[in-house]
Amino acid sequence: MTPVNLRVRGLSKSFGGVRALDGVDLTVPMGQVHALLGHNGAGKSTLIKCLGGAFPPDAGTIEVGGTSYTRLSPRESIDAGVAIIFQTLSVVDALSVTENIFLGQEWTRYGRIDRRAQEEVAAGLLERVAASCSPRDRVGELPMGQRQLVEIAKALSRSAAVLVLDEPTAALSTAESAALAERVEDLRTQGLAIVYVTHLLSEVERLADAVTVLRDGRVTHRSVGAGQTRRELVEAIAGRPTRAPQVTQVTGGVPAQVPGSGGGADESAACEGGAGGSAASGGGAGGSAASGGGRVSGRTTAEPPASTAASGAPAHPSGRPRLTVDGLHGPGFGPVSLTVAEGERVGLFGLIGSGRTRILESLYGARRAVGGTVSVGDRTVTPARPAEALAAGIALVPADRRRQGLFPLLGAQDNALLPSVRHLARAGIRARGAEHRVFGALAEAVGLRPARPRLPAAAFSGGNQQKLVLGRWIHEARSVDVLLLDEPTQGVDVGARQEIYEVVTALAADRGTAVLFASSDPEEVVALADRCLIVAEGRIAGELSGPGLTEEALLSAIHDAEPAPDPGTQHTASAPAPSPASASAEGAA
Amino acid sequence: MTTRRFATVPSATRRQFLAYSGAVAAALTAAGCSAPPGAATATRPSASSGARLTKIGLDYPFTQLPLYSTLVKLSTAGAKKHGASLLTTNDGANADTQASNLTTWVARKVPAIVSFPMVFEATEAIAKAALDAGLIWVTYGGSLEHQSADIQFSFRKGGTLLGTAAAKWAAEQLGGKGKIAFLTDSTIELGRERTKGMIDAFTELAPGVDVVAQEQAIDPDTGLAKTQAILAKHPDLNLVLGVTDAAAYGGFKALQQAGRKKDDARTFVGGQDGSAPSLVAIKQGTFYRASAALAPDDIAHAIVEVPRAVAAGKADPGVEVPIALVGPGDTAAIDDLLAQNG
Amino acid sequence: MTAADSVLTRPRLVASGGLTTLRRQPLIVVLGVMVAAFQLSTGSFLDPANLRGIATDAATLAIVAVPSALLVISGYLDLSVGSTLALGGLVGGWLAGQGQSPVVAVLGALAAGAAVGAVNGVLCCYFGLSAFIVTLGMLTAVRGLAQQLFPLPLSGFGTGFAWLGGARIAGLAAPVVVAALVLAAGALFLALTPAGRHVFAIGVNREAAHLSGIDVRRTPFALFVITGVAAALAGAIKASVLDSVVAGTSGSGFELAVLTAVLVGGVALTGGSGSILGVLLGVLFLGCLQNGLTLLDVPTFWQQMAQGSALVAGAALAYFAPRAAR
Repeated sequence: MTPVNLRVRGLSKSFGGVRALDGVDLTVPMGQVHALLGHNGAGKSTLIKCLGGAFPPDAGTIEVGGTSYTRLSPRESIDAGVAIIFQTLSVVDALSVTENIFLGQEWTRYGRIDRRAQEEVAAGLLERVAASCSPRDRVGELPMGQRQLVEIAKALSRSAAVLVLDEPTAALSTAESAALAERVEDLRTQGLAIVYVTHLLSEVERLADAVTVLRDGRVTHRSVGAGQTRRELVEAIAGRPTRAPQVTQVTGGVPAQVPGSGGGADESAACEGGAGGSAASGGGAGGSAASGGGRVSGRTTAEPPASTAASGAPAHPSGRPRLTVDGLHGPGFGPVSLTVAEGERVGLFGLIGSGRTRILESLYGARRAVGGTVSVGDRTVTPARPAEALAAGIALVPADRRRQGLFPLLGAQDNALLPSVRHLARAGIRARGAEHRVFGALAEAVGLRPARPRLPAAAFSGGNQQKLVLGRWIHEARSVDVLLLDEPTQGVDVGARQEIYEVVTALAADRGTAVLFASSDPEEVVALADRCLIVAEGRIAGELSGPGLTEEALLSAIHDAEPAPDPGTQHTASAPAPSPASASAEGAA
Repeated sequence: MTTRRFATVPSATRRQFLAYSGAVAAALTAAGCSAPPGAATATRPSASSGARLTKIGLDYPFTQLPLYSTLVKLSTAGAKKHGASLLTTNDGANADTQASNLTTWVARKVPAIVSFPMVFEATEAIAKAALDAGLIWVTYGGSLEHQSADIQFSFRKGGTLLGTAAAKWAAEQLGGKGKIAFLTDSTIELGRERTKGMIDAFTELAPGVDVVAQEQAIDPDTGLAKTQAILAKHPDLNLVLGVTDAAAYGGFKALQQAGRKKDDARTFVGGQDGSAPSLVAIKQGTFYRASAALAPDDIAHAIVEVPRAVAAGKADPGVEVPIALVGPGDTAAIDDLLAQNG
Repeated sequence: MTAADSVLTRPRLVASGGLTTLRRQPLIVVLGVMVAAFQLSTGSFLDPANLRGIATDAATLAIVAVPSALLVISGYLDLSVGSTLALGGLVGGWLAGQGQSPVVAVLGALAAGAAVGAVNGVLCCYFGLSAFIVTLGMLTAVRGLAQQLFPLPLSGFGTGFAWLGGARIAGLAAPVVVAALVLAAGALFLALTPAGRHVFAIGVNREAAHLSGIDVRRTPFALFVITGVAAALAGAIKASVLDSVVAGTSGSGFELAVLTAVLVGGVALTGGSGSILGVLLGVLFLGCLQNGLTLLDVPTFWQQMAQGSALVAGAALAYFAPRAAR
């Protein structure tokens, strides 16, 4: 019997009526790597944060090293031996490696920090994680992979028994990812219980001793050993009713919060375009029906679909290109060529760091492209600043809402209308009546709750914040031709997510807006896109559309396009030969 | 108008004015002239033998003051006549900067240093080091234990002259009755001396006049604001005496804004320093009636000649720069002072 | 939460609903209590003559505090106003003393202030240097320039120039009228113009504002120029009132007075929140405090302690009151 380091039982947690975790069990014995899978919003982060003491669970117990807790404070969590390495690392760039490792637990000698002793210990810890940096290096100057190892070394210095890695390879290069995999194996043999959160099935296959899949806060799959197949996992993640292991209750993912969404939505996550469109509004139904006609609901097909569209020829009936990108390239991405037709919704699907964001930002002028052209309709615009992009009818809803999108201290109306105040103004004086009216209509259209114009944006939920940022570009005073969305529903609860899909779908259908969005969530791509471009290493590595656009196909596509940690498949995206989704070559028009 | 109204005001500001006053202890006798007896006798014979001195360092910390520019200009010209050059520091009214600048000069062996210490006690060690290095050290505005000579000013005397003149005026014009407000300084030694001289002389000679306020003020903005407040309570205020001309000038303006005629016969404002706006006001026959003034020429002369006298081996080379009261009748003296300033 | 609360006050014109305003601006209560206490203890605080003195006094502070507050709201600050004030007073006074018409003298002063503001603005907004460092440097540099240009005190500016500081317009001193105009302009700017909204957006989240297509450089640049102009105007007014200027000391410490008034008035140093009403209250608070303590004959050093403590207390009350109100 291996001693169990971590045992979670019946953990539940709700946020304002939305169940983020619903009776989750998780058992990780010593010396095991336990993969935790699931969509964005499936409950992985909430589970991790409960472990780390960031949130108190509503019900259930967390047992670490034989002691059972109903709730943990961050301090208790650390003392109990839980170490969480978040995607955004918590190392302090300005300090040295040693100082980071000993931050908050400095060794002193006669009241002074004992640097020598600390450095010796740090060197030992770095060796244990096989880091190549020196204890005296400044963390800010290290590559990402080394910083992560420093953070792991810091966890080890606190005698961690349970190590939680949250998408550890998301920001790492191929070589760094491979190195990290070796470290994880080392740490497993050293007896740590490791919870490994990932999107990548290849990592699961390589590292995991056991797998738990979460979906909508519940465990939808649990297996020990290498018995599971990719298909099983993908089905568990996507929530296909074909085979629901252990947990029978696989819902469609979208609680019927939205009037009108019920019929289409509870079908499954494949509540994609067609359903969404019809749910959005009466007026939207016709247009989206046309687009929906191009494909079938993503109901599981037995094998990954083989069909792919030819590049540059969107499987969209409308056809008139609204956005045309030709050979756009810059530091870390491109050349990228693509078109988005009037009323078409195109996804950019890829892993974090694959260059999706860079492509969108360059289109918007927020990042300077070195070469290539961007055209809206027949006009070549190639914006150098966001203001130029907006003037040309291109708008971006950035991924990092806090940093790039929101004005937390300002009221809802300001957040939604700031860029348009000048357009509404008459003779340089704000038209407050018109502002109020436009805001009211917008709040109604996007389902803003509460629809209070003066309430500071910081007081809204993530979903409603996103509606505000999105709302900037889609109200009556400010209609854009091209809408770029980066992770449109990151940090957005399930109900609001569906509403946002509906708004975007209706926008494309009613106004012919060309929508180009980036996402790392296959469910979202299937729900929102008419067509999806696979992005890897800053280029378009493939395309999926029509019936071929399924979550399985998307996951397969990135795993094949992905420069996998597995050395065997380490070809780059330029030669994704075995990929079923490989038809469109990168860069080629 | 003013805004300087709370504790965050750097004390340096206050000190500047202080120093302004302190600096100014120069003399203008009724005959008023640029050859005050003390300085002249001490320095003139040394002229030839002192010629060996090629550099004189003037360390005057209150660079914000108009007097600073005047002194540098006059001293540079004076030194040049003897083939010497004048070095200056930029202390910015900061005692720490002053100490470090002086230490640098001692290390560089500037042959003669004339220094106005912001903190006398703190400068003693530097002065000793200068003497040990064989340099000439002249203390300005006071004296140190270690020094070659000093240039003295009587701060209290300026206050006493002003207080006496005001008391005499009150006896003649107000029959020894009335109300007076003092704009004082209690933050540094020079200010306290001037304040004490002014108040003691006045209250002793005019016991019948009510002292209605003693307020800290050394700059015009503060002088204006304080006097305005005092006038709100005592609209019939007769006299305002300032520890500096700058503060008194603020009081002068406050009285005018309260409706007092420029030449009101029952009003008296007086200050100390001999600063230009005040001198002009006195000359114009306004109720700004007196300033205890120093002559920049005298000070500049001492700055050059005292070190040269030391170099020439004169006995008792020190100087006390005289101070004198100028009033409406002293037109020639005022013109002379204004010319020196300009 | 406080920050969020104070945001709510922002777009109002000075006049607004009584109780809500009180809750949002507890400084009104503080000010009221202070005024009552001074009146009861001195008996002469509320005399028209004294109030005129306070108003005239607070006027120059308000003239500079309004644009400074806008700068702080947009996430910048200007510490150089004390020296700019001196330069403006000197240039204006010098021109007047040369026999130029008062209009030319004032315009000259404003031009000098605009030049200083433009340098600040270019360095901070277009080159992206830290406003703290740049304007702190300019505080010293401009002071040096002023002393180099005008080493001697200036006085005797003539009756025309004296009008600026001494004239009465409808019973109010000219500086008070100017200050009232500046306050009204500031409030209207924030409430009624698109750029006024942009000021908040830039202060709250500069990057998001940039990504929203707002020109995040032009508006703050303009505010730097306006702040410089306002400081120079205040300098000209002070020179006019005192009929003299001294390069080394005029306006020294003024930048701290302005910043204090702005911050006590509830403008957050972190940017993105504040109101003109708050600035007005901050200015009056400082003005009444100084004047009242003088009336009370408080000894110098006790006055300093009282001023410092009252500032902290006022700021603390303004900070905590909204929380308590919830």
